[in-house]
Amino acid sequence: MKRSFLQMWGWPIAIAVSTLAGLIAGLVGDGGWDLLAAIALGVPALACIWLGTRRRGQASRAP
Amino acid sequence: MTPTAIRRWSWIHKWSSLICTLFMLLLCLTGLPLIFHHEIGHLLGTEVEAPELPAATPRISLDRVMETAIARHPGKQGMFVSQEPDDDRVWYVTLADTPTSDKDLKQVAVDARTGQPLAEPKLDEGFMHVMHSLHVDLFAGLPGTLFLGFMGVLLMVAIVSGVVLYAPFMRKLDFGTVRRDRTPRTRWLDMHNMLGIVTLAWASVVTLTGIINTLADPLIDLWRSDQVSEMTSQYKGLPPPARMGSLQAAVDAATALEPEMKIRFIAFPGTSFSSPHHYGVFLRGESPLTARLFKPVLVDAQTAQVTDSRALPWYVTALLLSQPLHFGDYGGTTMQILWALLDLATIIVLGSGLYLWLRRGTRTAENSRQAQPGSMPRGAPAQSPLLSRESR
Repeated sequence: MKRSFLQMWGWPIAIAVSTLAGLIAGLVGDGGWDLLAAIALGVPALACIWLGTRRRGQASRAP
Repeated sequence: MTPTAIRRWSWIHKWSSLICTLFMLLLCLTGLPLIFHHEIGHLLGTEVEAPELPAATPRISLDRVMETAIARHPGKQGMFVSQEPDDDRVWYVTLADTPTSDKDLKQVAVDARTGQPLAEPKLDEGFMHVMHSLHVDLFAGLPGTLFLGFMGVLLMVAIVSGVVLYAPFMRKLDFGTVRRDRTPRTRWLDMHNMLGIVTLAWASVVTLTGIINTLADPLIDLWRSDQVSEMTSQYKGLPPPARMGSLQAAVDAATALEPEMKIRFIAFPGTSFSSPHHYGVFLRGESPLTARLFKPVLVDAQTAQVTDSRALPWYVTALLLSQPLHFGDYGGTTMQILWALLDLATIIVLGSGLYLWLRRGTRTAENSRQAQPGSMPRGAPAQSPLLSRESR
C-alpha cells in the first residue's frame, strides 16, 4: 500500500514552514517577534529531541 | 521512483556526502562555540567591558580615540574603527602597517566617553581564534574559504538528494519512526532519516548562507571595482592624499546625511571598504534587519565633504542578509540555544550517515537473512508490508 502525498510529506512540510517562519520572524523585529521566532524555530529542535528519544511504547500509541 | 532512479540518486547522495562529511563535522563542531562567542568571551575575560558612567556622558571626538589607539602602537595607522550594534560606549580601532595589510593587525578598544584604552583584543590567538579560523578558512586564507564553500555546495547536493531518497525509504514507515528494536544499522538509518528531514529547512538555510559567506571577499572586491570606482571617478589618477583630515569631521558629514542612522564601522582610505581618497563611513539602521544592512557614505579624507552615497548592490545585500541567518545571532539567547540544538542534530545526521556507509557491508548480509523494509533500497526497494507493520 502506497502512502498518500500528505501522509508522506505532511509533517516534513509543516516543520519546514515553521522553521522558515521562525528564521524570518527573528529578522523582522525584537520582543514579540523574537518570541514568535523562538516558538517556530523550536518546532524542529523539539521534534528532533522528542522523536529521537521516545520509546517504542509511545511510538505505537501515537496516532 | 524506478529502481534505476533510486540507484542514481543513492550514488549522488553517497558521494556528495562522503566527500564533504569530515569537513562538515569540523564546521559543525567549531561552529558550536562560535554560536556563543560573546558568552565565552565574557567567561574567558576577553570581552571588552566599558565602565559604568551616566548614560548621558558625552562622547569624545574620534580623532582623540585614534590618538589613544596609535599611542599604543606607534608607527601603525588606522584601518577600521567600529562599534558593536548593542554598545556605543566602546570604539574598536584596528591598526596595521598599511591599509591593505593582512597580518600584524592590532586592535585597541577605546572608551568612547573618556578616551581611555580599555583593552587590546587579540586578533590572532586564543581558543576562539582557532575555532574561527578552522571554521572560516582552515588557516589557509581565501583558498581555504573557497574550498569550504565548495564543500558547502556538496552538502547542499547531499541534502537535496537525501530529500529525493526520503520517499522511497519511508514508503512503509510513519513519519518520525525510529525502529529501536532492530539492528543498530536500521536504528541509525531511521535516526538519520528522521533528523535529516526534521532539520531540512534549517540545514538548507545555514548551508546556503554559509556558501554565500565564503564569497564575502570576492563580493566586496566586486563592489569596489563596480560601484566605488564609479562613485569616486572624479578622483581617478590623482595621487592619494599625503595627510588625512579630521576623522570626526568626516563622520559628522556622513551622519548629517542620514541623521536617523548609527555608525557601524568606518574604513580608512586605501582599505577594501573605501577608496584611496575617502573614508568609508558605514551606517546602519536600528531594527534587527536594517541593523545588518549598511549604507556606505564616501567622505573625502582631506576636505570632509561627502562625495557620494549609494545603496549597496543586491549581491552585497544578499551577503549581509546571509550573515545573521548563518550565525543565528539575531533572536536572543533562545535562538542561540535552538541553533546549538539543531547543530547537534546535524552532527548526528552526518555521523550516522558516515556510520551507515562504514557498515554498508552488513546490509546485504542482513537483508538476505531478514528483509528490512525501509533499509537502503538497492535496486528495487524491499517489499514486505508484513514486517513493516510489525515493527510499529
